Amino acid sequence: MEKIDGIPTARLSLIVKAELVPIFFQLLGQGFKLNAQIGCSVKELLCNQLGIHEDYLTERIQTIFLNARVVDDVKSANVNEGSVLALSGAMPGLVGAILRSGGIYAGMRSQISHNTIGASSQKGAAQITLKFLNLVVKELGPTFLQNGILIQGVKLQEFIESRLEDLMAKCVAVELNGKPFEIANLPKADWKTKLVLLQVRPAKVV
Amino acid sequence: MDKILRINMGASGGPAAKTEPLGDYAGLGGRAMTSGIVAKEVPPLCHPLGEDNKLVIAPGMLSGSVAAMSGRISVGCKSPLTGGIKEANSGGQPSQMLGRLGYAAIVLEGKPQEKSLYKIFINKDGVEIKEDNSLCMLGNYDLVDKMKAEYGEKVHCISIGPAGEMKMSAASIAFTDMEQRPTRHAGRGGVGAVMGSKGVKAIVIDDEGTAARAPADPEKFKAANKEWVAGLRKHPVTGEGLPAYGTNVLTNVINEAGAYPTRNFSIGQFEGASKISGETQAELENARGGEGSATHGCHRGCVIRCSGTFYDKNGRFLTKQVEYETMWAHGGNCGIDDLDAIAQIDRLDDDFGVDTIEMGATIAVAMEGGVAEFGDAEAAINLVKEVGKGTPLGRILGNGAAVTGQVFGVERIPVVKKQSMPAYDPRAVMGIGVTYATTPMGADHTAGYAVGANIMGVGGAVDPLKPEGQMELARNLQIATAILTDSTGMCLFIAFAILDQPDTFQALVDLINAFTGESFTGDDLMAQGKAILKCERDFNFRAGFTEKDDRLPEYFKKEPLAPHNVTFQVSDEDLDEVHNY
Repeated sequence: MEKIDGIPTARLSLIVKAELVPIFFQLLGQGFKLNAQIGCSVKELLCNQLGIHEDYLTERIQTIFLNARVVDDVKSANVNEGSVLALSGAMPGLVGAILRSGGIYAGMRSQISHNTIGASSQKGAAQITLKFLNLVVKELGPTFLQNGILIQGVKLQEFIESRLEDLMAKCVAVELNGKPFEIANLPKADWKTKLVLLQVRPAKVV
Repeated sequence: MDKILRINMGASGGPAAKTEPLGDYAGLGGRAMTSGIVAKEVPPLCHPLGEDNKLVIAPGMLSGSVAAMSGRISVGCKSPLTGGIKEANSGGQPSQMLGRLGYAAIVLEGKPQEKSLYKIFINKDGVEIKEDNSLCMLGNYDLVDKMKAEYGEKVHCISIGPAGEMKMSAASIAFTDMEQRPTRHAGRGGVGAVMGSKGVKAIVIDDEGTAARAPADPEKFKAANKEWVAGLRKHPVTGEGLPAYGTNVLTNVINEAGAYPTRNFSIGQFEGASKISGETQAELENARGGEGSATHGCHRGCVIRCSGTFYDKNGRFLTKQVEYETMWAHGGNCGIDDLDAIAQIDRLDDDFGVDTIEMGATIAVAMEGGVAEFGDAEAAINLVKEVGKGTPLGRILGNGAAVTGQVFGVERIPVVKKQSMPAYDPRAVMGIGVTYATTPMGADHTAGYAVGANIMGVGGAVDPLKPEGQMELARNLQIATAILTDSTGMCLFIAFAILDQPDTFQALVDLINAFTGESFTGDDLMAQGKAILKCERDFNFRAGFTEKDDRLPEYFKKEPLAPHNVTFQVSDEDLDEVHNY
C-alpha cells in the first residue's frame, strides 16, 4: 500500500450514477488534503497549481478563509504547511457581506481578518487542507472528485455508514487499490487508520 | 392603501371596528407606519399586555402592487420582551392582500372586557368580528384549517398559537404562506403575546374581487420593475446562492469564520456544522423530492425564492425549509446536528407560535443551567412541547432566555434589551455586535443590513478600517434598513443586488418613485430612515431606557471566543456615538 507522510494510503475509485455525485460534496465541504507547493500566495496556489481560472477566482469565489481568517488580498496571503483554505461564493446577510473578501464592510470583522504582517513562509512541498463550500463545491467539486481527493479514513468511514443505502443503490463499480471491490464490503473495510485517495466519476450514460 | 382599520377590542358592547383616513400617517408603510403609530399613540410606560398598548400590523409601502419582492409586513407594539418599541416583520401572503384591500394598517386597541377569543374577517365588503372560544389553545396549523373550512379555500390568516394566548414573551404572530400554511412569522419581541392580550386569535383575509394597487406612473413602474427583477436575477446571491441553498447557506461559512455561536455562545465553531448546513439540507430535500422542496418563494411576487419545503423521511410535509437562524438556534447553539430533529422543532415552534431564535437561545441557556444535556435532540423537542402545553417549566421557557437564565441561575445569557442574540457571535464579528447593542429593537441581526450607505452617497466618506468607520457604517446601515427594506415591504435580501449593482439600486429608487409619484433621492430616503430611528429611540428613552441598555452582556468583553480567542472590544463611548446624528 502507498504511504503519504508515512500514513498508509488506499486508493478508492467509485463509478456512480450522475445523480449521486452531489452527496460527496459534503466531504469537500468538511475539507480534503492536498499535497501542494507551499510558501506561495493563495492566488498562486489556486490559479497556478490547481488550475482555477483567474476570472473564476475574482468573480465567483467571493469569500475566502485561510486558517479561519478572512483573506482580503489573495496575492499577499501565503499558504504554509498545514494551512486550511476554504472557498465560498458571495454570502447573504449582513454578516455575509461583512465576510466578503475585500468588501467595503471588512472593517466590521477586523479581528478575524487575515493579517500578512510578520507572517513567515517556507518554500517546499507540504500538505494543506482545502474546503469547497456552496456554489464553489457545486462548480468545482465534480472535477476535483474525478481527479481524486485525499481524505482521512475516519471521515470516509462515517460517510459510508451514513450514506450506505444511496451507495448500494447508485454505485455502479468500485475499485480498491486498482482491483474490483464489492460495494457491500465498503462499510466492513478498515478505513480509520488510513488516508484515502477517493476518486468519484459519473457513469457514462449509454 | 388609503385607510387605517382600527379595532377597539375593549369597546362597550364588544369589539368595534372603524376605518379612518391616513391623516398624519399618509405615505408611510411597514416599520415607518408601525413605529410612527406606536411612538405617537402608545404611552411608553404602559404595561405591554395592558389596554393602552396597541398592536399595529402594516403592509409595506409597495405591498399590494406587482412590484417584485414587495410582500413583507410589519408588526409593531410596545414589546413585552424588551419593554421598548418593537417592529417584527414577516413574509407570507397577507401583506399583499391587505394592500389590495386598501389597508395601510390594522390597529388593535384596548382589551376585551371578558376573557374571550375573537376572530376577525376582512374582505372587500368590510370587517366582521366574532367571538369564538372554540379556537382556544389551537395550534396555528389546526387553526388555519378551521378558518379555511369556515371562510373558504382562498383565505389567508394572521394568527397566534397557544404561546400567544398564554401571553408568553417569545410568542410570534403567524402569516400564511402561498400554500396557506402558517410558516411565516413576525417572531421577535413577543408580538404574539400582545395580540393574545387583545383577545384576537386570528385575522382572516379574503381579497377576492380586488385588484393590484395601481402605480402613479404605470409605464415607468413597469420599466423599473423589469430592471429590478433582472438585477435580482443576475446577482450571484439573489440569483444563485439563495435559490440553491436558502439562508442556511451561511452555516458552513459562519462556522469557518469561527463566528458560529455554539453551545450557548461558549465557542465559535461547531463540529457538526456540515451535517446541518444549507448544502446538506438542499441535498437532502432534493433527494426526498416533493413540490417546492429546495427552492420556493414565501409570497407571490418573490423572485429570489430562498425558501423551500421540508418533507420528512416518509415524504410527508413537515415544515418549510429551515432558515439559517432557526437551524443555528436549535442546532449548533444547542449542540444538535440532526436535520430531521431540528425541522421537527421548527414545526412545533410554528404551530405553538414562538420565535425560533428566542426559543433556541432559551433552550441553550436552559441546557447550560442543567435542564438538559447539550446535544440531546429529544430533550430539546420535549422542552418545546412543554412550552406548547403551558406547563410551569414551559411558561418559564416561553418567556425567553433572559427569564430562563435568571430562573436557572445562568450567568451567561446572550441578550440585549432582554432579546436573544441571533446566529453570529459579536466577539468574532464586532460590527454585528455594534448593531446588536445599539438598535432600538434589542439584539437583532436584521436591523443594520447591508444596504449600501456608500452607494447612496450619504453620510460622507467612510473608512471601514478605522473604529470610527465601524460606528458610521453601523449607523448608516441601521438608517438605510429602516427605510429601504423595513418600510417599503421589500425583502431584506434585496440588499445584495443593491449593494453590488448601482443600476439595480437605481431601479429600486425608480420603482418607488414611479409607484408613489414622488421624486425621492437617496438623501430623502436616508432622512426618512433617520426619522424612524429617532422616534423609536425617543420612545425607548421615554419608556425608561438609557445608554446603558445599548450594551452587550459583560461576559462578551471578558470571555475569549475560540478559535480566535477574541473578545468584544468596542468601547461604551464608541457605542454611544452610533446614534449621534
